[in-house]
Amino acid sequence: MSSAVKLENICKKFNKETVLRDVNADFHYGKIYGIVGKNGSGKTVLFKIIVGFIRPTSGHVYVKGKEIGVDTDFAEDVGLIIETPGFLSQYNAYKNLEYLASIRNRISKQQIKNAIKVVGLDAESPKKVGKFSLGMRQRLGIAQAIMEDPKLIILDEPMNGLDKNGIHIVKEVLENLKKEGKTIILASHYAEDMEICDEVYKMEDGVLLKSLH
Amino acid sequence: MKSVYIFIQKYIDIWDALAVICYSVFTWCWSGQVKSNITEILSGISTEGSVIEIVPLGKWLFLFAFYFFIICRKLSKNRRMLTFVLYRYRYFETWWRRHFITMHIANFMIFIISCVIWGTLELFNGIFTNENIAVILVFFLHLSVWISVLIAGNIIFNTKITPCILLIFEGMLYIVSVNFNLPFLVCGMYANCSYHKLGIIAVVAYVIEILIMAICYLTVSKLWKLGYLERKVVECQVQ
Repeated sequence: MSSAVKLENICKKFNKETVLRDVNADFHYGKIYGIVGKNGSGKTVLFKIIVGFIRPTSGHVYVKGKEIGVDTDFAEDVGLIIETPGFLSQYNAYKNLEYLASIRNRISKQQIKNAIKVVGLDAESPKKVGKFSLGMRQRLGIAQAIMEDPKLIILDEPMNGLDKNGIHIVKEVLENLKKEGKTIILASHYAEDMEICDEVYKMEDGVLLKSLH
Repeated sequence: MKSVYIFIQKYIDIWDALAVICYSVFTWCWSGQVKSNITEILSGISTEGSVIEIVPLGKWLFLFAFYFFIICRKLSKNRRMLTFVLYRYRYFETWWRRHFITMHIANFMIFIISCVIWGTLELFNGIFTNENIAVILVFFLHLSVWISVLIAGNIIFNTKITPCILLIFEGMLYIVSVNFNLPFLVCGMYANCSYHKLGIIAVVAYVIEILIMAICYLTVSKLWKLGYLERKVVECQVQ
């Protein structure tokens, strides 16, 4: 099975603080991977390294066979949500996603609307994002991550702020994406968010421990 | 017509347009109306008298403060969505180039609106001379330099005090230029730094301004390659 993401001996230091220690992993297509860990364990840093926002102090990251920082600055064909999603508060959900979609310019208006509907939001609603609850913003964040049909989806705390129904919708969406052959990597503080995952890793003090199941 | 509207909307919103209309009328109203108003507004303060004129200096800095405010608002909006925007580009350089140019286009469009209003009011009032165009160009070049520093500063330092520092710096340049009789230091002021007055020195000052803009652009690219910006561009909290 080919790797969507391959991490080789990733170490990351910020000044003298070591955040990631010798992280090795292979994430394959058509699977959902979970990373559980406490605050400050290094999950978000690892995600930022995979995407290319920050460079590892040592080691190599390959996404779809291309080395991040060498062949390309940022990972290609990826959908991402890291930390609290930031949107333009004076625009509605559709306008926000339309702006983001205009960068790659490869999806239609209908596809944007579909992504919004899939996460349980109203694509036609004029409600400004500034008036959205945390849960609604989170859903919109997930919509922006999946709207361009990326092969790799990286979600940092995707269940943050979601109610039971929201969590159910997101899990259903992720399972459907997995069936389409996507690779999904998600992080959470809570083990119960990991029930949809095929493999779960534990992040502890910058060390990625092998699958729990 | 619709495509023109969409193009304009990409760079300036209704609030920017309203603000620039108010600003232009306000600045036109305060000008002395002795000679041309555009010259009054944009040519700056003559340093020949070796007296530091505080009120005109305040007016001069206000001119810049307005454009800084508009561009900072845009920069802050962009920063809010940066995580979602950045990964949609394959290379940082591509994003940076687009960001840098977009901000300059926005600044140019806002400046054009104010010039159209000043020019219209000027035509009602009297004459629009070739000197007006020279004054506008010199001011715009100087403004563009500060906007370049602002855009680069927003990425490198990620702080909101950059516009304040620039205004203080601009004020200090004026004071130094008056005290030490160095008119080319205030090269945005046509009243002091024009080819007509300083000859080749003025041209050198303009070339240096263009170089500063290029340095701002290249510095960010270089710092990204060196890895210095990794915790600045996308805020990195260890989690």
